[in-house]
Amino acid sequence: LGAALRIQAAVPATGCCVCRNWISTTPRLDYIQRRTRLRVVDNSELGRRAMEAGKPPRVMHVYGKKLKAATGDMVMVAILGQKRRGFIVGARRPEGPLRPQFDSNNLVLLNDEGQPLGNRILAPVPSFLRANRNPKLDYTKLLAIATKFV
Amino acid sequence: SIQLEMPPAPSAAAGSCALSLGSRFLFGCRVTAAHRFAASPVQPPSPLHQQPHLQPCRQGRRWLRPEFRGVYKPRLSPEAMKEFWRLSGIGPDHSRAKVADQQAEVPPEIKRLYQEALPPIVSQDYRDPIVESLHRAEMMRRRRVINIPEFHVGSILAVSVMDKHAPNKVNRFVGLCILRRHTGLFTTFTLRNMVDQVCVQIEYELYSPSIVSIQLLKLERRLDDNLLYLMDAPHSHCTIPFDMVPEPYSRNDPVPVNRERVRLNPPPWMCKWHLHGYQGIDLEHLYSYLSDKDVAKAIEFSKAYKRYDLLDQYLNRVPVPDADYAFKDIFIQHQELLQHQQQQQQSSKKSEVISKLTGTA
Repeated sequence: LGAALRIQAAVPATGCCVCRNWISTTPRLDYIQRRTRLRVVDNSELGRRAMEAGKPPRVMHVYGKKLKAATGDMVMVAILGQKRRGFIVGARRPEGPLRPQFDSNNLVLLNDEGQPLGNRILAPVPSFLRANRNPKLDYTKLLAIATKFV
Repeated sequence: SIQLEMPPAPSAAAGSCALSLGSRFLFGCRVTAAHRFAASPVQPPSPLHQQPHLQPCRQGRRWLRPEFRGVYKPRLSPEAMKEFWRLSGIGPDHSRAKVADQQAEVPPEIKRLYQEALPPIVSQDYRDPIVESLHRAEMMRRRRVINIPEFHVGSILAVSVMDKHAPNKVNRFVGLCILRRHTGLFTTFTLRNMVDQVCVQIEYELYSPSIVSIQLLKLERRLDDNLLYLMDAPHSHCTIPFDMVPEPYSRNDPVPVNRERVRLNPPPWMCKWHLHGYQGIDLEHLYSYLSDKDVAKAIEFSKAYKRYDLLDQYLNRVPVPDADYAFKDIFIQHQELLQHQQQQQQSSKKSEVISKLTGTA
């Protein structure tokens, strides 16, 4: 059936069960932008406290003169009342062939110098990030603390 | 690394190929040597890399190579074309007449092995039978290099992909096939697995040259043609160990159907799973989360009124003559592929025997 493509293209943002819309009017809203909540996947103290308190970091700014962030982009997040930089290591949005897609938007927290706050990344990291292509950030140390590449 | 071989001087024996066309991946001199052969009586065959290479159409973007955008298109002599087909490994006698002469019934295993050979379900304005037959030839050419097993949505696969950043230059992923999209050369399939408590989905193009191997670990079918609802299901449904041992299967047996009905997590969901006619979801459990109105809508949707919708059937099916032609075409090439594999086995056995006799290692 054409169900597969219909689902991928036209899924409401909230799969609320009491939604009255029979016709979906917006496509899948899976871009990471300002106000997006992310999931911290490193073992930093700040990230762990935020996720346990049920207050995940929210994107405040996307670096690189663009409005949408994807895997491999640096963002500024608001986390537990603080402003922190973060690096996106996984996104819900499908990126195309040979690039993994995750069930959550994964974030690794960075300090102001661009070094990771934690010393281990608990989620698998996409292998294409090893090309180290972000012009704003040299994330070699981040790759060094990754446990698994996918 | 590309090896450049300069053609020999024009004083070479007339009729001999200036550029040896023995190896498939030969890059000859870029300078067209037409002037060198102006005096020779025999038209030389064009080098392989100068043969026209039709760029496949990807996602609706038609990008022609520069040599096809201009007015000048080199005409190929039939001999040159035959030489090209000979070198590319496809039989030179493969033609429409052969498909038309194919009287034997196409065996059902061909339809199982080559599900993606069906032409796309799209209006006739966008279909080009020549392009489709060329794509089928390219698909079979790729299958000479790599073994692509038969699999369905619900099967478990292990895919190794070339990755320059990986330590072994190969990246292996094991997962459950949840989706098969598109047709022909651009068939893709998506594998899903849980890695370190995080669910990952990767889409692969079946005929991509970056793929080193596709290994089937478990052959199975499900009740639906896609398993996208597993994104809202407990992770236990898509957890497959990376060191899973392949389970043996027989080609002659029908594909086993897994009639498992999945219980989804409580809402919110990514999609309104109750409105897409999934059979693999536990519907009673699903409806318990919905309001009465939504349940009524879901039941209304699931009524089999679509089989009376003739236009829907017409638009969403491949015309039977086209499907028959495609499978006959594939069947002929499948037999050639089997012959090619037998020849390769014999030649490898021969070389083994020769090495034993001559005492080489």
